[in-house]
This record gives sequence, C-alpha cells and structure tokens, in this order.
Amino acid sequence: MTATSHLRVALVFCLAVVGIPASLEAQFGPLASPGQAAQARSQEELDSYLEIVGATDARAIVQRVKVFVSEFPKSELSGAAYQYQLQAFERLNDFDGMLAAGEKALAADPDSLNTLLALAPAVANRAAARPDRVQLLSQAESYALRALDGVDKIRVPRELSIEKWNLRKHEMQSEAHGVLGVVAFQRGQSPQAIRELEMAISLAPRPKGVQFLRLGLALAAAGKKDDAEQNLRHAAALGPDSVHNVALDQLKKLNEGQRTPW
Amino acid sequence: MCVAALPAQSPPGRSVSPDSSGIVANPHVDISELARSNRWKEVAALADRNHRQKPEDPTALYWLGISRLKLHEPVGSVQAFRAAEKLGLNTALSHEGLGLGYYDLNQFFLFEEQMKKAAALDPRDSTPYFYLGLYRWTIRSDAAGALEFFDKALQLHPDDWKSLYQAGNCFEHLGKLDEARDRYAKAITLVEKNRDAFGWPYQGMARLLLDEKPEAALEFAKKAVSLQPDEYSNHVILAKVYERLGNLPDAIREAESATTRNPNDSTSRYALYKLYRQAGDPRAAQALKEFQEVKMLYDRD
Repeated sequence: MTATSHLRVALVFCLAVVGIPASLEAQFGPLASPGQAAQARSQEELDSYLEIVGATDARAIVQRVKVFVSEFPKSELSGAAYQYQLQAFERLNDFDGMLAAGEKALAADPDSLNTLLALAPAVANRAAARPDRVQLLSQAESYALRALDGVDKIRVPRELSIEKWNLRKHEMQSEAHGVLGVVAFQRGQSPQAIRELEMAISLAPRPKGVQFLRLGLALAAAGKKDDAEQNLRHAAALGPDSVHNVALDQLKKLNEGQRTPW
Repeated sequence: MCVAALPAQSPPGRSVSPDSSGIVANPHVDISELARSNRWKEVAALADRNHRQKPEDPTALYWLGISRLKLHEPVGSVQAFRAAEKLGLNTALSHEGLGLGYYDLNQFFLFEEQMKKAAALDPRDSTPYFYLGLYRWTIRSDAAGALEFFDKALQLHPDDWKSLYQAGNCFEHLGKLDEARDRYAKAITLVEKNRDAFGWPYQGMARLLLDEKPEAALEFAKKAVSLQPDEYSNHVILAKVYERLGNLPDAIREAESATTRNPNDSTSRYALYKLYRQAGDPRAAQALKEFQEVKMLYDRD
C-alpha cells in the first residue's frame, strides 16, 4: 500500500465516523409553504406512513417503507418515506440499499437537502473500495454541488430564526465542502482537497475532530508535514476516541516518514 | 397568521368533552375536569393509564388524542384518534380532534374530510365551518371560499366574534369595505360584552380607518395592542397610524416593538426602515439591510 493510498483508507474511515448530517424531519416539520406539502389521500395511507415515522428499528423502517410504497405506489409521501429508508439503510451499513433509496427519494424530491447531504458523504466514503469508484466520486460531487446550490435558494420556514438558519446553513455548507474535499483527495487533487477541507472547517459552527483529521491527512499527502501535524494533533485533542486513535496513528506514521520518506 | 394558529383559534365557548360523561376507568378522577383546567400532561398520563386498563374503551383514546394535540404531539394525537375510530368512536368532537391533528401534520385533504364528517354528525355545531374557513383563508388564501364557511358558521352561531372577525377580514381582502366594517363592529361589540382579550377586530377597524380617520384609527389600534400586546401585527398597525398622524417617534417605537416580537416579518422590517429614513435616523441603512435579508429568506417565491 502506498502512503497516499494508506491515507485514502484513513480518510474513508474519517467519513465513516461523521454520521448522518441532519435528523430527518421529512414532511412534518415547519414548512415554508404548508399549502404545497405532500398530501395523503386516505387515512390508511397516512396510518401506514406514520408507522414508518414512529419506527425506531432500522430493519423495521426498511420493511415498512417497502410495504408503504407497494400499497400506495402513487403516494405523494413516497419521497419522504424513501428518506427514512435511506437513513435506515445507512444505519444498517447497506450501501447499495442507501443508493437505491436515495435515488428514489431524489426522483420524488430532486432538491431535498436532507437526501443530498445524506447521500453525498456516504457515496464519497464508500467509493474507494468499489470498482465503480470513478462514477461514484462524480455522483458524490454532484450531490454536494446540488446541496450547495440548494442551500442558497431555499425558502426558509418563518418558524426558524435567521440566527438558527445561518447556523444550519453553515453546517450544511460545511458538510458539502467536506465531501468535495474528500472527492478531490480521492482523485489525487491535493491542493483542491485542502482548500475544500479548510472551507469546511471555517464554515462549521463547531468544527469536529474528524474535520481536522481529514485536513491533516490531505496536508500530509501534499507533503506539508508541519501543517499536517498541527491538524492531526488538533483532531486527536477533539476526538472522539475513534478519531483520536486514527490521528495518533497517522502522526506516528508521519514521524516515521521523516526517517523513511514516502 | 401562522399555520399553527388554527388550533389556537378555537371559537368561543368550546368544550372538548366527548359525548360521553368524560369519566374514564378510574371513577375517582374526572378527566374532563383536568381538561377544563388545561392540565394536559395529567390528562395524557391518566388517559394512557385508562387505555392500558381498558384497551377496548375508545373514550380513553379520545382523551389521549386531545391531550397530545394540546401538547403539540400531532403524530401521537392522530394515532390515538384513529385507534378510537377503529374501536367505533364516531362523534363530531372526535372527528374534529382528528381533523386538527391532521392539520398540524399539514395533511389538509384529510383535515377537510374530518371537518365535514364532524359537521354532518352535529349540524348545529359551527366549529367545523370556522376551522374550514380558517384553512381556506390562511393556507389557500381563498377569501371568497373562506367567507362561505364563515357565513355558515355565523348562521349557526351568530355571536361567534372570531368568525365575525374572520369574515370581516375576508371582506376587507375582497375590497368590500362596508361589509368588513360591519363585521368588525359586530365582533367588537361582542368582544367587549364578553371581555375577551381578542384584539383582531380592533386592528381590522384601525386598518379601515387609517387613511380617512386616523384619529379614530388610533383608538382602535391602541386597543388592539392593549388586548394582545405580544401580537406583532398590532404594533405594525399602530406604527402606521402614528406615522399618518405625523408622530414619528411613537411610530418608530411601535415598529421597533413589531420587529422585536417577530424578527422574521418583512412588512414590519420595511415599515421600520421607512420610518428611520423619514426621521433622518442613521439606523435606516442597517434596517434596510435587515429587511432585504428577511425578505430574501422568508418571502422568496
């Protein structure tokens, strides 16, 4: 394994510990235009949808969405249902299931930031280990760019204050730039990766250890050892344990690299 | 008016008791008494306990539905009402409660269906028509359609000042100002008689009088603010009246109150910007910037 490919694997791990960016509040949260909300056409249809909303077990959610879409194939709520399924597949670490559910969710609601920002990091994360890596990286990039575009165009529900919206907006932008950074890194475009990952950190209301870990790894790959070391130490300090351990491991490798250049 | 306002806009004199006695399972605790005192968490806990003790009793589920609705848990509310319905509960109040739960979930098709069932089961009850009118007006912006429902509600309950106010508001929107004034005046008479803290018809009247009789408008606008001081739109109208009377300092104070109470409303932000500009206040530039930000975020087409 080359140093760069080793770092790629580490970066993939970084994404794996990030988790899902936003809790799903599909359909029932505050809406900017309630009059345009997806409507159930029968009580039974909504009962079935509420069974998905109320379920906590990931396998049960996957199954209930299957039942829902088979019983109500033309439901306006199917896009929101697939969002729940996407999240459930993510919890089950079922990447193919995620992709399929995400594509169906996007077919119903192409501008859903929840879906785009759930799919983008998941796809970027898994791309390295897949034969269709090139295509998946393009997909992840496309999702992230669409999310960035959508964040700027969204009409915000009045229930959300400007301050809270700006926080949420910066979180989403940070998430999308983080994905673009990972994609660039996977493509071997270190300067672009560093720019995007720095942007992700600057936008995050409270940057996480994993974001410094990603940046540290990208800087290391670009041969910027001092900056890499600084970011890896920051990542180790912020944690959590999984990030702390990877950061320390990478710091060790970085210092070994002094004696044995990559 | 926001979406969540509908359940809060119950017509006057409503009881939430179902058609049964309201005494459920535990004979020592009257659940409807707790409901009358708005002790909804206790109602929910008791209803839940009663439901566990007597799963076949739809009344316990009714109370569970109502209490969860009041506690802003619409998913739980709808599920409880639906379970009650499946056990055979079929009353005007249960359909009304279920309809309001659907409304809170933005399920307007099902909301309308339930309100129509409630109206059919109790043809003397004006409440479903009031809610249907409010939905037509606030969500669909259909003043003419809403007016038909408010008129129907008023046929059944002529002293319902909330329906009178809403009908006046629809007439005002349709440009029928004499009719609007008549409904606001009637609503005001009833509000004063019942000493209710309902400022909306005063605000409406102030709006109608603003250009022709600003001094008279001032009294109504002040009354609206005194009755509902936390309602930002009352302060907007009072600011406009003060502006019309050439009293810029008080107009600015009221516009500032409006933006403090509802920072996300572009109308009051714009009113404040205009007032600062008229007064030569250097804060005008910042107010304009804030207005543009709010407009772009919340009023984007």
